[in-house]
Amino acid sequence: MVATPSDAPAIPTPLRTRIGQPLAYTLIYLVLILWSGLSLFCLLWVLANSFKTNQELFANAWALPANLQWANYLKAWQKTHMDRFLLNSVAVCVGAVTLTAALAAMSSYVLARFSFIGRRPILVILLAGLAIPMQLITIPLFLLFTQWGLINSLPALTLVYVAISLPFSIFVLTGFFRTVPRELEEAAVLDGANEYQVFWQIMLPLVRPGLVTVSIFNFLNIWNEYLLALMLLNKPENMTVPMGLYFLRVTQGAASDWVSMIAGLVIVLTPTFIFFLIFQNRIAGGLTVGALKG
Amino acid sequence: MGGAKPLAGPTQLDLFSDQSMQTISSGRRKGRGIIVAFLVPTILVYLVLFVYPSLESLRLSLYDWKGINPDNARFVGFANFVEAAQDRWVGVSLRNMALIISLGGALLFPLALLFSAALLNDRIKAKTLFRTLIFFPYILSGPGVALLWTFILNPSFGALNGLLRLVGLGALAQPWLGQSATALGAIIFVSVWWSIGFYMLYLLAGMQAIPSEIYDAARVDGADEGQLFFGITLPLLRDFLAVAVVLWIIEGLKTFAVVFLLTQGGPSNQTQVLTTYMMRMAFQTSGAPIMRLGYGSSIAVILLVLVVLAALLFFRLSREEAIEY
Repeated sequence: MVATPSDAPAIPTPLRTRIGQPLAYTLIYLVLILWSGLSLFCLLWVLANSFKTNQELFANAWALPANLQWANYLKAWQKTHMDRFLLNSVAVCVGAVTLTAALAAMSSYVLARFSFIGRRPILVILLAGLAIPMQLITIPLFLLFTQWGLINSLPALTLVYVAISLPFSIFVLTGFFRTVPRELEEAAVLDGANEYQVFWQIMLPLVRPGLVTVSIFNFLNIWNEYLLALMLLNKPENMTVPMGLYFLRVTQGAASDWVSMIAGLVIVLTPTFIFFLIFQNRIAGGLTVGALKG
Repeated sequence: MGGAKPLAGPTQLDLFSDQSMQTISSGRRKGRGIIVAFLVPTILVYLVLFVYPSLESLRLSLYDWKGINPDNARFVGFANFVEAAQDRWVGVSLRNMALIISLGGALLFPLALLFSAALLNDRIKAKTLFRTLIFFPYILSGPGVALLWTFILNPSFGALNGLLRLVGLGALAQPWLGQSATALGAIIFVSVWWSIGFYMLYLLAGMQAIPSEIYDAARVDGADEGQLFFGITLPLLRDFLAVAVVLWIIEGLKTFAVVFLLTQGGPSNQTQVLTTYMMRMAFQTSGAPIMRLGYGSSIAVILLVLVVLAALLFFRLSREEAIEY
């Protein structure tokens, strides 16, 4: 620590900064408050208007609702089969996230810890997936699914999500496996453990933080994914939550029932918010390992 | 320390001399079953559902193919690419993407820098609140963000027009998403609003990596906060900033959800980007059906080339990222 002695001669501060700094701080605060205020306002505005009648909404978008129209929520919920969408989304997400974690952990361990012919090309091909835009695979996947009669199959969609989550997951997890000191494995091997036991009992517990980070990001990405869902699902009873929004927009837009659409948006955003509030710090911390929005 | 050393043979270096490689003799003696057992499921899933569709897209881009029936597919070589080069809407799409990347970046980066610097400054209060409010849009889904803003920008009941009328500027109220210039402006703004949290935290991580001794030394020399930021933070952040810019370019090239759900590329195709135009060419079934799967694929391939170029830049920059302080 470099402690500046208090009795040291005062460093002459340019006059400019004495006046300039409070002004600069005021400006910084102003920008911060404006931008975050806008975000907060967006949410509150949507929330307030979701409780109005359509007449109230059109009369004055800035007024508060006279009475809370819970019926909007009921209508949004029923019209869109929201319970079904939520169930589908949870099933697809949990399935895809778990399977991705398992496959990515296994393959990352092998790719990070063993040397074998083909390791490098396999790693390169897997990581190249990070650069592929999703639109490139939609047309062939659509044709493939049509041909194999898999349109509307949620398990098939789950596998697609696993495939598109693998590059990022392996990218992060190989990094984690490489940081584990080799001595730990060697000690276990001397104690008679085989490679599988080393993986389960030594390596997996040590890379758990990486697995959790990867899973949180995969969950968010898959929960929000809708381009592939839009192409590969077409029956309402098979749709996922993000498509539900799209569906809501079409049906309620046609009926000019805007307030139920707004209520539907609130319903859809709520689980994401709860998830965000629980994992906020992990999400923020995990971003720097190279998370990319798909 | 010391501990268990490899029991047999010299350290077996792999091609790229990765130090963490398995060098234990048992790895060889007991057979390498684990490599096959642990890799094959991943490779299978990835090959069938990611690699194959990607390659198939490249093949399809060489076909003229209307509708789903494979009998209609006709090999045409690079004709689709020739057509795309002359397609007016491909040009409009590229122009819009360039505008999203450049104008959006001009808004995003100064703000992200200001936010991240503010979050590191001891004199700024309520940091967690600011961080949360600035960051949360990043985790929302594309449809969620787009629907939220269609409400806010709605000409009749939207919050923006409502505000303008409220403060007596009703004359400025307009159909924001119904005119090409304001619609593109909305797309740019919403894209920035959606993503800025990520860039804020990324640059914050970069700023935290700068050793505080450098600042202490400069403070002793009498530098004020502004000089510290422009004289130390910004130059030392250069590499982080470069990577962030490339990431923004890639994100801009991939722009889809905001356009697809906010404007559908309208009014009259003026706000199309490559992703939405490709979807329109390949899958539009309403109105006059287009369903040109081959042409759509060729547009996707053009997008791929652009993204790969940007990604190569990314890997180059991120490899050079380590600054020695």
